[in-house]
Amino acid sequence: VTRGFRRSLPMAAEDMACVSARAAEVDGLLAQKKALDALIKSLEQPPLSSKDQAVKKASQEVVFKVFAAVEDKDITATTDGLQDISLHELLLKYVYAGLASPRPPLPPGDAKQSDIDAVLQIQRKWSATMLKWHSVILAKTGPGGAVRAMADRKTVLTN
Amino acid sequence: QPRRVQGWGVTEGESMASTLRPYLNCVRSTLDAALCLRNFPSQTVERHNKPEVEVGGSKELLLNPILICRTEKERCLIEPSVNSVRVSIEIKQADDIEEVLCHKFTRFLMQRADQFIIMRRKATEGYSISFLVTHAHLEKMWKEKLIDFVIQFMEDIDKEISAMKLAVNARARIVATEFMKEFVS
Repeated sequence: VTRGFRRSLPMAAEDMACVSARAAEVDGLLAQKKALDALIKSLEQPPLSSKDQAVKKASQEVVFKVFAAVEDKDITATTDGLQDISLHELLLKYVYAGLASPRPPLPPGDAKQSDIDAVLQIQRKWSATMLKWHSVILAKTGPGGAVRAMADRKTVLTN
Repeated sequence: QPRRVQGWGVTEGESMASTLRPYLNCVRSTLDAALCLRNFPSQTVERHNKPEVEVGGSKELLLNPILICRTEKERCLIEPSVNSVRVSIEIKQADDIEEVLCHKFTRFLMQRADQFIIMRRKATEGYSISFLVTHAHLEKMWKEKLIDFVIQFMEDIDKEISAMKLAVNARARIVATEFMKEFVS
């Protein structure tokens, strides 16, 4: 993979308005069951240079919505549909962001054990989905994708 | 008295085993990418060679930390740097007994950290146990085998704690039965 592909990603500074607009478009595409188009749309204009954590988080949420919407059996087909190689690496970074943020968040410490167990069960499902995406995309990018997720200064990960 | 009961705990079952494999595979492939280390003497102190992830001084030597969560209570943090990687593991502790057993077991292991070579004597804040792998370790040991060790460790520690919990419950039941026999005529 040559270095030339990096120039295809626009380095535009992101702001919330951009992300919100993108979120609305992705919602629309998901409602029409166009998962692949929604995925490509959500990966557009990543807030790589942004220092605003809120913007990065919001951008992650957009991609996470697409992750949750795609069925497990369709993951391979959807990632095969992504023609642009640079998108694979960006997607892997988002997957690592997804692995780092278990959802939904746990209730506070004094909640009932059964409530906590229920939430943990849902968190396990989310992590299982993320792990599936991770194995599929890593097969495409090879270990270089993981290395760049760690080494790139401008990432979509929040601090 | 039964000493050990092998196998998974009774409460966990198929659902546990099915997501453990992908989690371990993810940790394995991320470690594979992170463990690309080289010798890098300290930039701040002459003739010193320190693991940069522990020093944490120069930002240009540290890479982005990767957090792989199975749940909020069971996760693995991988902090790479130019000459060292710190792998911190938070072990699943479902209830109070497992919490106590985990704490005691990890304390036992960490006191013997130099036997494990890559183990850290103190776990990172918020985690059960930590490993520190430096370039010197990779020069002496095979990277694949090192990663195999860490993954095997993560698998076995869960099994150990489940087995210990079953043993504790079994012993408690036997002791209670024997004790109550005194009061039965």
